[in-house]
Amino acid sequence: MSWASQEDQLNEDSWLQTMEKEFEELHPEYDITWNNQVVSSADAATIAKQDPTVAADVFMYASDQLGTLKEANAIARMSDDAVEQIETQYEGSESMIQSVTGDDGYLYGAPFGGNTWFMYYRKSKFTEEDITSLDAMLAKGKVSFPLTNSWYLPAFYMGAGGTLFGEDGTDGEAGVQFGGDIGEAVTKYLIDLRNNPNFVNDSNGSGLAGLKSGAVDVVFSGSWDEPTVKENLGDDYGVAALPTFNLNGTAVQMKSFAGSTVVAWNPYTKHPKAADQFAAFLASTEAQRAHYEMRGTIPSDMTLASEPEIAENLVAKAQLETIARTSVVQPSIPEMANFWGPCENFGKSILGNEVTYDNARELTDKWMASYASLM
Amino acid sequence: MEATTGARPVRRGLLRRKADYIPPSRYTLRAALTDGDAFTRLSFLILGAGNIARKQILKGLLFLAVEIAYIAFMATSGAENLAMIPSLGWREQTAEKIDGYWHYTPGDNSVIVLLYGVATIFITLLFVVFWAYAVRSAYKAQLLAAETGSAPDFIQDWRNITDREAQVSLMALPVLGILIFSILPTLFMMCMAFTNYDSDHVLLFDWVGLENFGQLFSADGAVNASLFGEVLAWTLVWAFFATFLNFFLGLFLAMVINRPTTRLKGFWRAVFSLSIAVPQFVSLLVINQMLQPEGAINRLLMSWGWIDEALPFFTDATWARVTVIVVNLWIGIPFTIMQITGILQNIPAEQYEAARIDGANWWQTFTRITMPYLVFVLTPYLITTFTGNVNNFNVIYLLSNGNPTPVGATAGKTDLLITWLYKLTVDKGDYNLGAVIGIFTFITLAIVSLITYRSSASYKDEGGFR
Repeated sequence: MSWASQEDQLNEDSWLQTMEKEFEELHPEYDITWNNQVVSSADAATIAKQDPTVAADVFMYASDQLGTLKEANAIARMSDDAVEQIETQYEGSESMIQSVTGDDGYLYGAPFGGNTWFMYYRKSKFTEEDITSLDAMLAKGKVSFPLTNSWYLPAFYMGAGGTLFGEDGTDGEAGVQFGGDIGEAVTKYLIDLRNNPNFVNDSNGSGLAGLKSGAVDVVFSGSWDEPTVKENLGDDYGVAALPTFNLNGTAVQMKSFAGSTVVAWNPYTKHPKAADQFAAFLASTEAQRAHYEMRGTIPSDMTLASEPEIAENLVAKAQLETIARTSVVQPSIPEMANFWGPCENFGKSILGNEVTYDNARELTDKWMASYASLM
Repeated sequence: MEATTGARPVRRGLLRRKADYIPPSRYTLRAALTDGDAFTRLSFLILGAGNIARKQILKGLLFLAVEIAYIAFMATSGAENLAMIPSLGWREQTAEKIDGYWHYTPGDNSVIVLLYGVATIFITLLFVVFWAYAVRSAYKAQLLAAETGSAPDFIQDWRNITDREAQVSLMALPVLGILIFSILPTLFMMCMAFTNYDSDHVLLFDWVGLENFGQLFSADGAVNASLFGEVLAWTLVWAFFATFLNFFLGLFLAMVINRPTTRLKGFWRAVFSLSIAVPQFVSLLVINQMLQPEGAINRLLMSWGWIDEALPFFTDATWARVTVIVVNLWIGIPFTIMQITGILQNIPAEQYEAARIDGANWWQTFTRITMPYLVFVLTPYLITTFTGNVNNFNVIYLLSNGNPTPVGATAGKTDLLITWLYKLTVDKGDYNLGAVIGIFTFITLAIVSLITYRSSASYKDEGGFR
């Protein structure tokens, strides 16, 4: 049984079915009955941890769920062969391998695609110079940012030097460090941002709608929104890595989370060897190329990234540049699951005028204190 | 049962009580032990022995079969399930590498251990009840055989439970259903309140006694006394307003429509019922979108120039609380209109007629006839509505999602106990705290409903207003 997203298994010619057929040809020794179910990579951990014994043999998950899956004993280590394959695929891209490495040093699953966000903008509004600075863009056009989304909000704090679970995101004891003087300064910057008439909060798709209607000139999102953005902007379509923002006079680089979509297998499967091989096969270079050709997803495989067709793709360029230069590997320890809720609430508090210049310090520290009590 | 009491010349009060009086059975376990003969006493150990001796062969064999099945179950898995309960499992998952590929051996899963353990205890209790029944049945067979010459055979028993004692066979299935589908899961859930089953202990957890209850009354932490008190108070306030505002406004509309001079009654009822036609969750999600800071309502008001800044529908605590109550009116009033219209049309017209002849004014007829009648009929309905509103997950979760949530808190200003429970269990995986809150929700509801119902006219004067 395997879990994958809806779009990958629409019909017999979809990516997953095609890969299954190829896998059968590669391994005539197995007699496989395929049973495909729709479970998106974002939901895999939540569903798998409820009862791993009935979860899919092979499934896709978002790398930040690794800790949760490991804690639920719902994920298995990759075989020596698979590790070798992954190491060849990701030579020179440490962050991708790191995203699937457990705290015991073993590899849990094979990376299948990068997952991060960057910037789409209206080309005619800004110069090449403008797009490197958030403040310059705010002066010229309407900027939409998902302030109430905890996947985006930390970009400011992490850019300014805040850390999530230590330097490399694996130290649960270290906790979330967005407070102190830096945290206060960033919170104040965000208050200014909210008060800026050119700022629009992006929620429930208002950013993309704004691009279409002309009410918004910049949105922050990932490769999955590329088709919509292209359609909404037409010839004015621009895409770039993240800009800097002006924190008390110094330019600070915004830093997004980078993670990966991962193919892994379930330790409760009755056929561990076949499951391991199929998982590795689904993440292989050929499978990723097929996925790019069929669905236009940007592959994470470094050997593919240098192929001219992909290298010239603007979104692929922005994504690879973001992952390489302006990203923080999304922590995959179980404590990460507690991060999202309070962060979203803090974003809402900023947006709802609850956070002001006077209490910025106090509330930022209170936000941090809530993590201390949760972890 | 009425017929048996008819002939006796007793005082009226006594007669009423006698009507439902059932004398205690003389076939008790104690009597079976003291007065039973050898076969009956043998039935204490071997179920059905006494029945077989009195020629109730099929019945005796059935009893014996149940006993054998129970012993077999205990021997194969039941005993192990019970033995695992105190520790809730300890074996961890292990992995070993064979030819470069990992192979796993699963460890214990405390949830499964707990579930199987609770089920085993449950089955054992059921068996004890069954055992007592079987022993008493053996004694009954002995007495009947001695008194009438022979114990009833299987066919007579069968006729009995399908005819005179039909309530037994008819109730058996529903009772079994309640035991399996509501009591057992409830017990299972309540057990979790005494463990440390949370996001840090997903597979293996242990008993922790009353620690979680202590946590609920502690001064800090993700769940604490002040937060609990605040959520509980808001839950009750919300349930009160959601129930009674809906009731009175719905009553008002229903009466206006019901006035003899109102024309197009059907049309008005249809108009007010339109919101029922749209599934609740759709309207709630749409309203949620409309009330966002960039939503339709705020934009409209701003473009008209009525407001300069977005109205804080879900960002200010008071605004959010009023908003959910008001929106709930819109969702709930149509149901009340329907309900009350039916009852209003059912109030005997002669009563109004008589009141009018006596010169009663509108207010007097309303308070003396309409309201008592409505309250009498609707008290149980109001209690269920109140209960339903305490647990009104849909409206809160879909409309405000508990917002606004103060920085660092686990429950928002509009969170009910039930949505808080949901957030703790589903979003955060703290099943133990969720179970504790579930138990307290149950206690709150039980107290409120029992007090209101026991003091209502519907309970005290059952059979009135016929």
